[in-house]
Amino acid sequence: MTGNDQTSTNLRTSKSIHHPHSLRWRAFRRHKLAMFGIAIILTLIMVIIWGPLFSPYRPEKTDLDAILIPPSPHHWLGTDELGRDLLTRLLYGGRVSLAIGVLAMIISVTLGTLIGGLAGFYGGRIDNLLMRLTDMMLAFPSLFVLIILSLAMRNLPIEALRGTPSVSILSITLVIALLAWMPVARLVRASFLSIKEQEFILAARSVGVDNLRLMFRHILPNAAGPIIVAATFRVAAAIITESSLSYLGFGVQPPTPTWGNMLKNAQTQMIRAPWTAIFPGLIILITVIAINLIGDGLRDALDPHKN
Amino acid sequence: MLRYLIRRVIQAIPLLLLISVAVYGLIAISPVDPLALYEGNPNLTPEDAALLEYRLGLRQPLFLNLRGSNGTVNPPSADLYATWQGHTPPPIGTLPAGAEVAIINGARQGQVRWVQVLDLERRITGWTPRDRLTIHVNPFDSRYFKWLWAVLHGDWGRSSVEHRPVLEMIGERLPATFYLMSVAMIGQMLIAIPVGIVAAIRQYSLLDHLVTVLAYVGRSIPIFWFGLLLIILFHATLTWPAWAGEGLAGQPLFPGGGMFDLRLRRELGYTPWWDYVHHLILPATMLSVYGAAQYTRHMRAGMLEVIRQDYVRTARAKGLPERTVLYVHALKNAAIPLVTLLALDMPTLFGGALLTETIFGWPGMGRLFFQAAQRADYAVLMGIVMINAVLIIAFNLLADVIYALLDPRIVYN
Repeated sequence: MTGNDQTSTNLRTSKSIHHPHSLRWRAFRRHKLAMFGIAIILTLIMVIIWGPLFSPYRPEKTDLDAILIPPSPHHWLGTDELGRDLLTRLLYGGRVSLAIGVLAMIISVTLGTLIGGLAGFYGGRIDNLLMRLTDMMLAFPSLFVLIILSLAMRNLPIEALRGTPSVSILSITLVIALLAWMPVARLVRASFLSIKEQEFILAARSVGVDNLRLMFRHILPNAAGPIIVAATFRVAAAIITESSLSYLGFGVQPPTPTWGNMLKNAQTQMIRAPWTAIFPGLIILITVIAINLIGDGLRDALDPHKN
Repeated sequence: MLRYLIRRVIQAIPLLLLISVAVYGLIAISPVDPLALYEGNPNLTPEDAALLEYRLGLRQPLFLNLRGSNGTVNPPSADLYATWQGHTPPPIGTLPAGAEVAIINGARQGQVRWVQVLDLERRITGWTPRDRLTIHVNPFDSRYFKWLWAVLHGDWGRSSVEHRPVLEMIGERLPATFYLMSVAMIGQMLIAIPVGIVAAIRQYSLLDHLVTVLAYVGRSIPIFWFGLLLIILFHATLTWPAWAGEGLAGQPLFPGGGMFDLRLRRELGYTPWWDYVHHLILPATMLSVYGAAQYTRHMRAGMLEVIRQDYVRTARAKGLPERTVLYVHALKNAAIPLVTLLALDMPTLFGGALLTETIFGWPGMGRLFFQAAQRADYAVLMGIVMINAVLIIAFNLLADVIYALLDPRIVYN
């Protein structure tokens, strides 16, 4: 009796038995650079959410007495050509840019997982068809087609949103997502191909688990690692894409601020007022570096071949 | 190998057709109107506008054309006068057999109610409600197929803005793009190869860490912002020092845009070579530093992988000098991924760099595309996208071939 108790206590306190998930989480938490990236992103999100509450300025409020003021105690990061406070606009713009990045990631990863998963699971003709589609999308000259797509989708036919800034935000998100799912699809297809041959899938099949359940409950969780890593990098890529498109004038339309169209604005007066061009780009750079650091940390932690 | 090549080329044909259908459709459904350019122009009568619209084929069916046969035609109603803007269309009676009709969508909302009636010489003779006509579907008589047919015969259409052949406009921009992109590409290799090699040989040295950090920044920086920083620093902030002479002192160190100095050209009657070079330096730096950040990473990784392999150790063991081992034996294999990468980047030699050319006002293909997109110049957009799609597919194939030639372990079948 006492002996048995002893054993079970030993088992519980033993450090040598760990669930794989907790091992990976631990490896990730030990990744100093990734933790640094998470700290930056969390700080940024908090500042973007709560910061505007402390700002005495509104993002669209123009002030013709305060045009192109350099960074100063009143305007920490200066003002733009219409006298709008740059810091306030950066914070509001950050909400839009980050939202587009995350939303575009969710859509493109869902689409990529679905297409790659179907192709990998069913194989044969479906696989061929879906992969040809993927090849076609990859052969598009991307920035050119992004611009054409953003022109085509400028007026999304959604009655409820007509005339609101959400239309251009939503359409640009869709544009980015529609041209970003292909690498995810290839990745997911490859993992599905290898996982579906493993014994536990055969076992699940033999007890009558249907295809849908096989795909989503048995294969997908085992393919999750690379998907999560790719998803993280997708957010960073989407933020860059949004800023490039908005910079060229084919993205989110003013007066809604995003980091990209603030840079477009800046180009006309950046020689007189370099701060209007420096700060929006700097915050994009910091955000993207932080996200990439997290992605690298996740990749190192989730890579089963590493140990 | 040859059979593999032939198969890939044959596979590329439906791929290109699909891409052209997709891009053509996308361009056509975009709400940007090429005629917006003429809005408010008092010299353009509504008839001219209608004719121009017809000539540009804007109201013609995209992928399906409808052909009308005999039918009685009613005089147009109030609905039509709105489209015609107060001008009475010529009345017509019976439609001649075989006459062609083009669809008028109320205002592109999709519902087809009116057709434009053309006589056999394709002149607009009137308007008619659609339901009085027997309609035959003929897909090969649509805008897309007309475009495709013309392209296959070497006619890429005309710009709706400049009214010049698309190929001519593209041909004018090609030298500028090629000049910028080739210098940028050579520059990025000249940075990436030595830096990547040294970083790999001295792994974990100060230089290696610096390279890793810079490559990380290069991976995360928005390239256009990097260009803006270059302009702020080298154009807006730094000026020529006093010793540079009367004309130069106090002038910006580098021009902020363009390919040559207009004033200089007017004075001299031509542009000296050093003016071209002077204008090239900033945009080429922007592209090659950005590109080098990506390439150095690959060069370093390739070198690291190779110098640990047995054959390199063998080369050392048989007493070859370290220099030969590294720069002949190791480099040859370490450069394979880089060569493939370079082949994949080749299309930009012709397609240009949209962001760079836009920032620096460089008169190349990327900027032509940017201007065409702003002015909804459909034929130009279509031409540039398709040329780039062909180049991407071709150089993808070339990259695979090079890869197989350089690495005998790879066999295609």
